[in-house]
Amino acid sequence: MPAQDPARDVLLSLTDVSVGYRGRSIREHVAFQVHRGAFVGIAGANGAGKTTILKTLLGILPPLAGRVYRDPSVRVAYVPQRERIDTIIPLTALEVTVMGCIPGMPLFRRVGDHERAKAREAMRILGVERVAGRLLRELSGGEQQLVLVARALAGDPDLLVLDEPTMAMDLAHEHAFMDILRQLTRARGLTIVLVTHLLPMLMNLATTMLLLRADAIVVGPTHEVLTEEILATLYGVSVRVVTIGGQRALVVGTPDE
Amino acid sequence: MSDMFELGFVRMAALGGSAAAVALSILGVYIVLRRVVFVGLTIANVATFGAAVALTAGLPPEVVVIGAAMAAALSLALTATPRRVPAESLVGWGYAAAAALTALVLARSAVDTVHVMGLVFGMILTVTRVEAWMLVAIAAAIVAIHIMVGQRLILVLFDTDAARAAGVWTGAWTMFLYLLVGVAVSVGLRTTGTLLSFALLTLPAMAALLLTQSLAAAFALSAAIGVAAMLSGLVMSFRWDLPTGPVTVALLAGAVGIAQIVDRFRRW
Repeated sequence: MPAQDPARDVLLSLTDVSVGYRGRSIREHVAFQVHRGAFVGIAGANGAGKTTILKTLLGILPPLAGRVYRDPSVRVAYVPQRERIDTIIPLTALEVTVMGCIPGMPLFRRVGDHERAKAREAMRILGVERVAGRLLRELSGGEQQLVLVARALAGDPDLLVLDEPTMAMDLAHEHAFMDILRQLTRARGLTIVLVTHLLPMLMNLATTMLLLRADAIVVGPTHEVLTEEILATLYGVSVRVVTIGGQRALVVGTPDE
Repeated sequence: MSDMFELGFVRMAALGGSAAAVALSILGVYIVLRRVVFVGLTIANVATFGAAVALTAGLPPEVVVIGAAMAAALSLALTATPRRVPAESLVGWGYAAAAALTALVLARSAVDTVHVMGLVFGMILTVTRVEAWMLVAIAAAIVAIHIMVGQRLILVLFDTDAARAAGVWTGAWTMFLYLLVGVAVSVGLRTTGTLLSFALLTLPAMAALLLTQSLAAAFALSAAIGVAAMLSGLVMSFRWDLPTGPVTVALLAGAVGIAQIVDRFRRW
């Protein structure tokens, strides 16, 4: 079997990029690649520039320096932080979900039964089909977030990019959501980029990590990046990585502290 | 009432006014939901400035008005992304500058006050057959555009970042929306005037969004409220010898008040 060209598998990449707003740089010399089928986790302290890097990667913000590459054939779906959505527009959960299909449709075609069926299927996967007819603004924060993820899935993306998707979810929804992401990577071969504060989630799902420290950006396989030493340096507390029931977890502080 | 509609100029006023109401009320839903209602006012004011210049300099008003409105729409669309100052402050700057320049141009011109009043309040009863049918054509085009690409415009309004990440040209769609407003306002300016253009772009959409929880229904209801107010304003102004524009604006303002009361009662 011929060796696969790794460059052909790169869906998105940043090469020596500076990111920021209005000419003011927040992070410099950012370099990493998103390979097909990878699960990339992005973590770091508040204000570290996670969302800014994500927006630059997606072409929403122009880079201040460096090169951003995006495979033109890749279908990208982005799930922003829920509070960035303007719920003043009276749209039902189904109407919001079906929007995920629109970018892939011919210009003058309107949403039809086919797109509505895809949207309902995405809502079923996320467990929000029962709220399909309700207005988005009337749903709980967790439900709104799941509807936004369903919208992203409805468009059959190759790459799913999520910015703090579990912020409004309770523990049960968070756990269920983690299972859904795991199934999506395994069953659909979906490439995922996930920004979250939930390091245990990344430890158990991400194959590659981008960890934003104040002094540097650490990129590499998750088990090499999310180590006790690096996390202790990043957050300034002692951290232990433990395995319970096959799941990796974090214990902050040592037992004798 | 039937007597007044036997008059040709009243029929043309009703036709042209209703068409302008349909066009502006539908676009108004997008404008209100994008939270940029003053974009409409500024475009109307710049178009009025164009009309004042054309009247004073003896230029063809249609060309100058449309050119001024398009230039305003393009400029506002290009500055729609906030940079060092909020985008709405630039809209305010455009409004103030256009209003001041219009007053200055008219102060130095020999144009009589009837024309000046016409610019602000419109001259719906003098609408010609050509103007009326041109407004019908614009309204039909805007309805067709709304049906064909309205879902894409809403996609951009609802979540610009996700749309851009998915490859949608969000800047181009914003510009397209503003240009549509520019066309509708400039073509209807002689009929509706600045005040009624702004009112039709804002108030029917507000009332509709208060009265219905469905976006599709809001577009239809907004157009219906706009047309109903326009025709009622025409009849009332004819009956009581009042200027049509201000009567229609007052009716639209009343419709928003009623819609707010209905919305409040529904929530109880």
